[in-house]
Amino acid sequence: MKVIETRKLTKFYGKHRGIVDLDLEVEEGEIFGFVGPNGAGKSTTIRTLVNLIFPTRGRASIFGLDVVQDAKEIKKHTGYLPSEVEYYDSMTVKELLEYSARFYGAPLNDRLHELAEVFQVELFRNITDLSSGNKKKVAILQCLLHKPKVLILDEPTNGLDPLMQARFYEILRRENEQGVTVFFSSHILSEVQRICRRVAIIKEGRVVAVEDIASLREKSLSRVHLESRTPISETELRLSGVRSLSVQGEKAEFLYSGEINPLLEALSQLQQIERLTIEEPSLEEIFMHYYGGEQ
Amino acid sequence: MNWNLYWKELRRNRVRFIIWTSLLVVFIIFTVSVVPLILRDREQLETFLKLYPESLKKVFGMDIEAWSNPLGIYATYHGFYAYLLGGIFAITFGMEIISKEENRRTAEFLLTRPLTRSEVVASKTLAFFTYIFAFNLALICSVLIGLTGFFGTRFDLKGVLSLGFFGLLFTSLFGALGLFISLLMKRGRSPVGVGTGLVLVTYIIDAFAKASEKVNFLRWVSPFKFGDIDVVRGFYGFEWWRLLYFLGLTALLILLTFALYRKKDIYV
Repeated sequence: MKVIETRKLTKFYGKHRGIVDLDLEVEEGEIFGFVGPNGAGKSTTIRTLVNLIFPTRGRASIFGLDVVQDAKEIKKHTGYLPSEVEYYDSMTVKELLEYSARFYGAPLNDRLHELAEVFQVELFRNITDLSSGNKKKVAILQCLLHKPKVLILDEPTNGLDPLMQARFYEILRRENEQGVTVFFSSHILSEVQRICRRVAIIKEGRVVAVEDIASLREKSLSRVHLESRTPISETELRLSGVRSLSVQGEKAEFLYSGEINPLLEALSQLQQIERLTIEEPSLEEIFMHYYGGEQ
Repeated sequence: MNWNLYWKELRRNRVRFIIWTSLLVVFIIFTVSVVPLILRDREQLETFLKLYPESLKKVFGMDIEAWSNPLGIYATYHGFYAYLLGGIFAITFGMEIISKEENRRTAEFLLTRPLTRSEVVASKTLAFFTYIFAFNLALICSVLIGLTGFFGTRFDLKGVLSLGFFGLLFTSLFGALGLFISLLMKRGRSPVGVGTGLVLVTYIIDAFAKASEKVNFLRWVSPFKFGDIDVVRGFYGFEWWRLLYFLGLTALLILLTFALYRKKDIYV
């Protein structure tokens, strides 16, 4: 069963493009990644799904219900975590969560204390005194408390420290094991790779690819910097999987796609290597390589 | 209608209500306490007022005949307190009660709870009118208490109730106008400046248009024309066309607010 489905979903802000003819299908029980660079249309898609904005044309549905006509019914079963969180002043965390819970007609339960402990949220602190990271943790609690069937997460780990990020992923996996469908938007590919089974890649308002994470891993791209004590010859680095090679004297830089072990083996043949760094390229670079030509 | 949101709005706006109401109650009590002095020195005031040109007296609502009884004197000021200041209170309150969710970026939280856009407008509008009713009730009670304290039963109760009734109509209309125009304004614009400006402009148009026959037609664009009642001559203005003007326009603005908000893109 498809939990989230969009058909030719389009949103224009006046003349400015938001998203164009977006087709997405998210199956029940999957953790679906939604990645793209800033300004690609991720938040526009999400805001249309949660009915903060209205589509210019096309349609979207959650649980088979229309996101515009049946917004209230959909929201009863949806947990939404925005990228940036703002709350009312002069309320404690507990008061805010109680206020939120009353909209669902369900009082706060043991789940609150369990989650508050996991995310180290102080329930009696005033919202105004919280840092943006702590507000984000409150938002996570608020998003999960009513036991939603689908989670819509917009850059969910923004502002969370690594420990909290790890706990958040753990909670997401646990929720998913219990049947919750997750729609996970991010501009960090590695983050999506870590938790999702499938991922849609959005660029300039259009979905350019929907990939299994496994096939994306095969395409995994690394940026390699190399420094040697002696000048490097370009021919030494003409290896399979090497792209955008640039050599300047003792320094070389290139993008590498494929398994990392064959690369390390080849590099070990080189003499006089002084420094080697292998890092994840920016999402923009990945798009330039894999999806740039499709537009 | 969502009662959770309704009660929250009452709590969120209680300080604004208390400050405005207390301020105007103090003004009213002070004004009523001055009425006996004006009555005592009426003859001197009449001589003094005769020196003013007719048009100027009309602009400032100075009517010597009106100053022949306690309610007549007080009513001159009530227009300023309940209609002008009350109008500013109502319009700025109306402009903020919905738009502040966007301006303070809490709309994303509120509108992702399970409630329809219409329920949001209905709950906030009801909370708004609860305070508008309580505000007018407090004002008119303080007039009644003040006049009773100083004059016993020697004033026209019907006149006081009529002032209160029109105060309610005025503030309801300006509030509904505030609700409506807040949805047309760009995020971040100050509702206080725009709202106060709108009330003052309509007040000034009415005041100056009264002074001259040539521009008298301008009064038709101001609600102050429709609420112009003369408590001294026993004319309380309970005509249907006045009532229809206020109720009709208020209802229309509220309906437009519902229609606009149901289709509004919310940006945070």
